[in-house]
Amino acid sequence: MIGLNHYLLLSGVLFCLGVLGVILRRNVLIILMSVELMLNAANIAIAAFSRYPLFNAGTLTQEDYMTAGNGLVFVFLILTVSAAEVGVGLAVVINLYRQRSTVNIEEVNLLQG
Amino acid sequence: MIDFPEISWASIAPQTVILITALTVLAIDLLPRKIERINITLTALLGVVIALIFARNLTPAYETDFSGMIYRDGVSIYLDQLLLAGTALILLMSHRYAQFHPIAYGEYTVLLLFASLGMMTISISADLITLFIGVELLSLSLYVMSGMDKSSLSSGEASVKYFLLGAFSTGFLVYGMALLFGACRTSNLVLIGSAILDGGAGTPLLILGFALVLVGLGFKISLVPFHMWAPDVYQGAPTPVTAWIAAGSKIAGFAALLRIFSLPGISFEPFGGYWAQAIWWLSMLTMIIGNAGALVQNDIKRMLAYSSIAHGGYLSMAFTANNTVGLQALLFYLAAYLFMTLGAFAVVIAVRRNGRECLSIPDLAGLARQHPGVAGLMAVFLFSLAGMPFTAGFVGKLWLFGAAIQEKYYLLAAVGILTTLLSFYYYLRIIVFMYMHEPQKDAVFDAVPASGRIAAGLAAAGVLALGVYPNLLWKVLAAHTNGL
Repeated sequence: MIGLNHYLLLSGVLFCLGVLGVILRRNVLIILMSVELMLNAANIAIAAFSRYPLFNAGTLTQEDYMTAGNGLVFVFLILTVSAAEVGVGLAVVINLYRQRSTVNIEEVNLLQG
Repeated sequence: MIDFPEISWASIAPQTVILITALTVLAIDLLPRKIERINITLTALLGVVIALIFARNLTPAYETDFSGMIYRDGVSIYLDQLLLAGTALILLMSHRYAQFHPIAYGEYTVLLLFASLGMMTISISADLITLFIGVELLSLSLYVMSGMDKSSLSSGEASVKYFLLGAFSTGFLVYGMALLFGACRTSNLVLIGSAILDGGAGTPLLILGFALVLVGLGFKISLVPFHMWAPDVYQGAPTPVTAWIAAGSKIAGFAALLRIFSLPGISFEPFGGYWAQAIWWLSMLTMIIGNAGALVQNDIKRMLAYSSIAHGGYLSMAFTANNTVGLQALLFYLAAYLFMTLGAFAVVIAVRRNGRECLSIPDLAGLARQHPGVAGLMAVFLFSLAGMPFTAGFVGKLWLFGAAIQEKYYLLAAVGILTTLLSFYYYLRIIVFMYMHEPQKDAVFDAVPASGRIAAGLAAAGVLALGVYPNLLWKVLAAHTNGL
């Protein structure tokens, strides 16, 4: 049966893939996608944690419902904010592309010292 | 029928006023008729002043409000006032800057106010959710602001670099928060605190969660080794934005650390053991690498970037010391840091030579001949950054090092003192150029405008007042930190 640990494993793997993507890829858009992967890994973890009491299949207390609501609101807000982040990120990348005609992070190297 | 919880609107009055001001500026900027820059600046300043009056009249309450979402204690009232004072100074600087650079001033002002709102949201947060919203509001506004000068390639590059590393760090922050939520089964910081004190929280999850949060916030306050973005972003962003990244987002970052690592309402020292050790290393590396990096810089904004990294190291010493003196020293040094950093940037913005910004240190050669007043103010800020007696920087450093020594962190304090001595070299270098070098050929400094003089003058008044009469703030801080 699939339990909390499976969800946490999935979320951990997704998070690591996101981190690797940011570090290894050179295309700004791919990096942006990898960052979203990291945020969604966190969402999966929170959603799993907030349903945690249900996995134990015992009697649910008032507190368990509080935790569930709390976690789901958190997930909801992270989703909204990450959408805003993509909006800003794409605007920033378009600005870069108009100025330089490239989205490769290696070619963005005017500022050094 | 739903019962609505008791809400005290007064406790978020400053935040509400800033939000309304931002929306008002947005609305008048959308009017079909062109609005003069001065009207936008004055509207925003009026809002900031009203918010400051509300913030001054708040009384601290040592319990959470808005169903556990916010925590209006003395520390948050103090930080709100600091951030509002900083916003007012930045508005004065931006007004001048926008005269020469093609930035959309109305939108810029709205984003500036939103960034300040985000910082003030962090300072009152008592819940991971509120804290996260504050961090993101602040960061998203600053990403856009640093790319606002569309005519400049380096501004665009700065915003991309800031965005990518900022978003990366947000990933760590959020994942850390997810693990904290899992370990304590709540996102409320007060409840997380009591769960930890009861020992009822799963330890590996908790430690990993706190570590990831520390990494995420370490990026925001540019602690070494998470500082790589700072010099590039500081150099490329429009100068008033750089000033607000340096001062505002650093204060907000420390406010967030304070909220998460001090657990509101319980104590400043719940994790003595491992956090002190981790932050000891970060603080040590940050002081050494920050100051060493600043030594070789020729660009003023890059130099101030390394200087701000180094100051992050001094400030984080308070978290290692982990005592009440440390907390008070941290809050005092944040005020000192705000005034001296903003003052230095105000002078950099105000001084222009032959119609161009003076961005490299030799550009300032001979400034004292033509503008003795402005050069004198710059000297005050640089002495304070270096830690000369009778300036705010000296008192703050003394207090911070004292807090570390009190807890027997002798090596940390010694490194702090040695790196401070090292820092005199690069701060004094600017003063030498201003006072002892001949102006470069054909160099004529432009007239310094009133807004620049006012901003730099106010900041200098703050630096000197805190340096000569630290008791002014000392008593306030003692009163505010009693509840912790």
